[in-house]
Amino acid sequence: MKNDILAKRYAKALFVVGKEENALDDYAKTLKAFGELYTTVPEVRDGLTNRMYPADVRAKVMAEIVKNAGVSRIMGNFLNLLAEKNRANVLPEIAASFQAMVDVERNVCQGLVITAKAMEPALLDKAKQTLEKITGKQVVLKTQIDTSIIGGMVAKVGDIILDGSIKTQLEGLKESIKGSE
Amino acid sequence: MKENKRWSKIALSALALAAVIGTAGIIYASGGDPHAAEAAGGAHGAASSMTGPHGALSPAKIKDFGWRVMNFAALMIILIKFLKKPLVDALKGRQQGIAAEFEDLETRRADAERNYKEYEGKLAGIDDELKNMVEKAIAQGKVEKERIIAEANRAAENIKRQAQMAVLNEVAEAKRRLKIEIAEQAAIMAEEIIKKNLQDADQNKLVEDYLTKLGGLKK
Repeated sequence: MKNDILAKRYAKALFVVGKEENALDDYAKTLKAFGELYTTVPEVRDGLTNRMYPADVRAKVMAEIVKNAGVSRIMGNFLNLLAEKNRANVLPEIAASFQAMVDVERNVCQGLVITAKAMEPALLDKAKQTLEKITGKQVVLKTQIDTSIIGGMVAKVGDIILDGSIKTQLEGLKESIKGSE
Repeated sequence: MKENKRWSKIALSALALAAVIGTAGIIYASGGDPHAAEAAGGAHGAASSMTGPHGALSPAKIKDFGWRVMNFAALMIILIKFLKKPLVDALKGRQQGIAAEFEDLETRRADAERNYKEYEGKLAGIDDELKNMVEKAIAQGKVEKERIIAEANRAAENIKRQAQMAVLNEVAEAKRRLKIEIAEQAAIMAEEIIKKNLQDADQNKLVEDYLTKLGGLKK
């Protein structure tokens, strides 16, 4: 919770600058990449947050990554500032908050469609249109295969979850049999 | 009764006088001349001490004897005067005590006789009493038997009812468990059948139908 509040503050500051610079997509992409790097590579996480290392060493680690990543100057300064302030641990949350702000700014929301088998493009397009109709926003749709749902689909968009999976229908059937006299 | 009393008074007075004279004689004989006392111990002592050398009493001795008699008589009168009433009272008290004791004994004897007669009567009627007691005991036993049987019947009814309730509960619980088991098995079987038979076309149809259904929703 504390990290979320902190992440929103940093994300908002960067969002204002990115909007002025017209570089919201670039910043969002960079933040996402750094967030994934922090989450998926333990050495990076260790080098950026382990208090066993002196603060200047941790800042140097970030500076080196920034240098090798070839990010913009403003973005580089932001990331170095995070390292200097010992806030590298909130990178994933900052990336998520920043993306949410960009989505709101552009009337876009992130969507996820889960199916048991891969969807045909036409069907995926129809799903996107349907979700856009429901939310009234442009939907950036991702797909995920999950065989446990057996069939049908589950769509998650913003806070809405639309469950049309066979697994859920079978659960409902099961409960209705149990509850019947 | 009155005559007896009078005679007893006369006898008492004569006895007292004889005692006075006899005792005074002995006292007189033992007192006075020392030789006279020794003489009094013998058989003819009294006569020889009262008589002079010529066998006659001297006037002085007679006078002394008279004084002694009077003295003793006065003592006796005083004693009778002061001791008569306490003695009579004591004797009367004793007499009354004995009479009361007699009365008490009579009463006790009467009670004992009454009790004896009562027990005798009871003994005479003891057979009837025993018979009555046995009949009463039998009647009470019958009542008790009926009560025990009624109580046992009630307890049996309760046990039966409880057993029925337990059976009904068990049946209901078994039905519920069976229903759950059926539901679980039905879901598993349905899942297996669907997984086995679900084709791509079916999946597409399912998704399409669901999207069509969602399309009917408004924001």
